[in-house]
Amino acid sequence: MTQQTFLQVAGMTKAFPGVQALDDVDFEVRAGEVHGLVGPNGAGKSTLIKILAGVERQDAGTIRVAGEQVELHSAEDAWRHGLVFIHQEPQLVHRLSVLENITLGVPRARRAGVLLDWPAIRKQAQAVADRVGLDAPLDAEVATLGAAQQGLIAIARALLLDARLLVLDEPTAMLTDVEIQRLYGVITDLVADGVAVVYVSHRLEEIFQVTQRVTVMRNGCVVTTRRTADLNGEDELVALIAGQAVAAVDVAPSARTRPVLLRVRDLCGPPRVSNVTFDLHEGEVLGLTGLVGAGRSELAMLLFGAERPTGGTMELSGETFAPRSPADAIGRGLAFLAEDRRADGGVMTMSVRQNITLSNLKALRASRLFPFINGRRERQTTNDLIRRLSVKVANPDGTLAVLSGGNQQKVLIGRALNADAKLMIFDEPTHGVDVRSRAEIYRLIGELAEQGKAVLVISSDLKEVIDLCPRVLVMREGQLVADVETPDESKLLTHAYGHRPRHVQAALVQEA
Amino acid sequence: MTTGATAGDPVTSPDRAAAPPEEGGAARARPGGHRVRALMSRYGTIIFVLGVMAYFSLSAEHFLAAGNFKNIAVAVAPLAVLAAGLTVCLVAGDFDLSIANNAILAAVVAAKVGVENDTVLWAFAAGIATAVAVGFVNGLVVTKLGVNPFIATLAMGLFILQGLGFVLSDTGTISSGMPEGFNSLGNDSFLGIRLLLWVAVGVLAVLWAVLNHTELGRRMDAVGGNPSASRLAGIRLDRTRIAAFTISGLCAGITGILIASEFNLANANGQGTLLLDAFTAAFIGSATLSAGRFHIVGTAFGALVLGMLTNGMTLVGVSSDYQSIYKGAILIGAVAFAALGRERR
Repeated sequence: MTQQTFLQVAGMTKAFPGVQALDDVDFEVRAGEVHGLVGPNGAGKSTLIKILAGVERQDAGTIRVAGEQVELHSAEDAWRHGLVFIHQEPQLVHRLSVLENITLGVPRARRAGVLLDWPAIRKQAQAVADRVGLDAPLDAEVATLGAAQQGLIAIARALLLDARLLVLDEPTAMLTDVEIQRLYGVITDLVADGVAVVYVSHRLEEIFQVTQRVTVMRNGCVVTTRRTADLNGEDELVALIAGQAVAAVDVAPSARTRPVLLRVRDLCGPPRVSNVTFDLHEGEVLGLTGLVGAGRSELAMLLFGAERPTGGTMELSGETFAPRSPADAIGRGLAFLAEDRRADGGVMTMSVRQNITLSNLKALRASRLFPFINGRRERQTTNDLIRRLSVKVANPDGTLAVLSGGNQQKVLIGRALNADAKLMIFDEPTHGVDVRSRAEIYRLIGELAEQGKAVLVISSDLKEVIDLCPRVLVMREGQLVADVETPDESKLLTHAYGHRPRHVQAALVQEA
Repeated sequence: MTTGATAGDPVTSPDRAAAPPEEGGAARARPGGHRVRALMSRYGTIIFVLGVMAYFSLSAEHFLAAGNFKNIAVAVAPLAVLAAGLTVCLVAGDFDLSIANNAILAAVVAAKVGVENDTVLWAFAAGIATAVAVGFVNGLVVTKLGVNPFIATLAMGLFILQGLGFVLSDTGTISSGMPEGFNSLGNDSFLGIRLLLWVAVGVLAVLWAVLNHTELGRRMDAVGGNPSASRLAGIRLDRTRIAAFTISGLCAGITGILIASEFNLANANGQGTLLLDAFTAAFIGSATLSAGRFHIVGTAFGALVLGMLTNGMTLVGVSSDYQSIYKGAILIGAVAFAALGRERR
């Protein structure tokens, strides 16, 4: 079967101040294919997608959909041409029900042309919900659902919109392995129906699993478009993306012989953390994994004083540790990198500098009497960190919002470093971060451990915890179910899934 | 999500929803519509003001006289102080609708204490202390009781403080028996410039420094921008918000004694359009030079614009009813201009 070109982008060019975001980009997607789009943060993927979504306008270049040149001025324009975009964090109305979200913005069935025909709408919505394997009740409030189900809601809506090209931006970032498999099933069904899928991901193994072709971008240009099967494994793809070979990280040596920094005993807290007990040593990089919803982030919130425990005790360097607020925890030498950068991490309206220094303003105090901020010291501190973390930023006094995801993450890591913490909790530190930045973040975590700091790395990415952590804790349903030394995928998966049927695990281990 | 985010929903939520991408000179390189919009959001109000000034100077011969500008500055001095306090609250992502009544109550308290105590200093101190206490209570109610600031400060201002003003003043007005020198703050001059103006410039300068160069100001900026992230970055939300409300109360108190001293009386029903004027000044300010963020310099500019419009319209002969209609239109226009600077999503 010869696939027909569905989307043809030619000569696409777009400049932002100081950045050539896209430079004469040609890009072609065929009906019925899954087309991977990869590249480091700042490569221009997001800009290209935003232009196709009608959010940004190109400076030059043409877009043809099914052979016909189109102008995209708004999301509605894009929808009309069958281009539907699903973001990393789907844009849903959290207070509304699943049903209302699935049908949001979609022409809905009406009675007598006026009243909404809810039974008919419900039937339509149920059909697409079933097709994507969404098992939440249609009347559930979206806020109560996990990331996986929210993603499926977005895809269900795309199906209702009659999407002919679906762009999935890091669709698996928040998903567990089982949910990822389900998503692959949905994608396979869609392409069988002739839908084109553009699959944007930093997880290269996924590119090999789902795509037929892949386009690599770097510095606003298309490096190459290749048949995925023709690539010589992940190594070649990484080399294409990075433009150079990326060195593997060395796993830090086990630190269990060193003094205990944080001692946690029988810690409990709503909604689901129960009886968690573990020790974290100085100079240790400790992994914490588990399925989404296992209670990892909730545990982090308890450690960081953002939630109050209902039971159990903690000791920090041998002294009682019962933080009443994140400010308390920071005062005792903790730092926290939130999973959701936009909502809980960066203050997007503030400058890069101001974000870096936010957790440690005291260090910038001009004098003891007056809490004035010493601007020169702030510039010095932040310039050093920006250099050390190689943050790509044209103007450190510009807002954080204009930076790419990976660079925003580095800025927030800079904030943690600037607070001079001895215990850092990194929740999904490389979520949505490109290959090169990821390697840099890994190296940095290694350095911190060498300096005697303890790092708790929370991650759904098994490869990440295995590469990074000599010891990994596994949580399941709010409890710590395993403390694994020299972890490997099968051990971690076995503990994470617990009593799940063996064939599921076998399949997952094989895939990996 | 903390209460701070829900707090400002009616008006300020767009400010925090999307960061202005045009920040930091980015506007210049953007093509077409973006660029025009960004420019208009920063300089639109200034262009508008220049246009209006040109019109007034052609239609009213005294408008451009140096003395007239001095009059305008003096006339808006109390308003500028009030609006500057409000700006602090808005920066921290909160609302304070009690400021006008708080100022009036401070005036009543100052006059009453003055009449009974015969000491100007005590009178002014009592007025300001009352207003500071009100601001502090506002902060407690909003943070510790979790009441929406819109409702909390509305109830505080329009009902409680208004009522207290009448209770304390018996008849609603205290116009005689004030101690010697009670009216000097509002009427005397120093180095040829009215004390009123010195006070206003001083308060604005201090608040500007607080917001731009102190830890407290930085924290307020962060809390207004993203409360959840601020909390996890180690900022104590409640303290920061209470501080913002207290500063707003302090400014209301200063405004109150300026007004009481200027007219040598206190009228429990004298808030007039003070509240609306303060919001208008702050929102004109947010649409000036800053693409939608509140800042003290902008607020000072906003207060002057209002004063100039009132002055110019009066010189041209526009009746006060029509003036109010124009002012309302200008407030909406200012908010719209500020919105232009933000990315549409």
